[in-house]
Amino acid sequence: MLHHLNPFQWIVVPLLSLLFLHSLVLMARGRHRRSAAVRALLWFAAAAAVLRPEMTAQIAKAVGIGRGTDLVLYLFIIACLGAALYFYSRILKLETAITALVRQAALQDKSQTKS
Amino acid sequence: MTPLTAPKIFVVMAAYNEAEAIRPVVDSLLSAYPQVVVVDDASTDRTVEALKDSPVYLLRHCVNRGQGAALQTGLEFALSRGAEIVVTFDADGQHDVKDIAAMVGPLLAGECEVTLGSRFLGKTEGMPLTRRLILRAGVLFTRVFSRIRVSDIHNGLRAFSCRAAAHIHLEMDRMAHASEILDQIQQSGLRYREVPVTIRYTSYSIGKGQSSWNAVRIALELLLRRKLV
Repeated sequence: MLHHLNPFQWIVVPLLSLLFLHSLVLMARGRHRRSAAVRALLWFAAAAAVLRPEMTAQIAKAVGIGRGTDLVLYLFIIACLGAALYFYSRILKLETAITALVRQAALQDKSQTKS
Repeated sequence: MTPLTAPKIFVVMAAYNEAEAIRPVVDSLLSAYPQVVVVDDASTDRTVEALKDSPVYLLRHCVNRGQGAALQTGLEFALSRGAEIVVTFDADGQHDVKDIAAMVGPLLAGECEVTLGSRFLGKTEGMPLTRRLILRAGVLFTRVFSRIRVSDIHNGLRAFSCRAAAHIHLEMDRMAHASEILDQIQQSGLRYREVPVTIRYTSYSIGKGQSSWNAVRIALELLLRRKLV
């Protein structure tokens, strides 16, 4: 079946496989196990989608979206929105931490009090 | 009418690039209220120099964190110095020092624990129409989302008993803190009252103040934050 691969697949599938293996290794090492598992799953799904595009087309049709590419596009947009919200909440927490630091420094600064 | 033991009243001001206006404001405050706390929010102009030789408590944020953050710093400082009443006051000269007595009165009489200045109960001088409309919309927004009924949501003149001040923990670092204060008053069940005050709109204070679009941003920020944190 290998000789059926087009150049795009030849380039992308090995890369995705490496990423997949990397995530598996991280999982085996037991650090951040859950996020490594999620990533492994994502890389695997991506490789599968590149290798067998008709698969995404079938899923797309099953849920009532015209083309496989559209399905992938929608999933991508949802993931981006999720990431944006995630980072926004991270930034809020960071800002809270910075403010606490700045406040503590201001309150501890003995030189600034009443002249 | 000087009581035997004068209550320890601290006036807290957040200042960001107020070099032009702050000195006269501080001087007029000091003539009546000796305990003035200025939190310089990392001004890039000569705000700090303008306060040189002025007998105020000058605290400095090393990085700009916004008005809400600066007020919280000032509140905590005042409480740590044994303040019995904390008054917040804007640095740009839009408030009238004479109004403070009326703000503090109900607290001293034990009638409530927070007083909120209201320009709509009191007087406004030279308020632009757009500002009036935006503030009215804000009052409605606040009534719906914070379930607190006030006539003026963004008035910088407020007075807290020390017990009430200890209930305020501002996390909205920028301008949304005004709504956050109302939220926390409501949640802590603190008794509050609105007091008519005069706001003086000068070209300086209008220029330094909020752009009207900011109101939309503040509303979004409040709603998002509730969902995320």
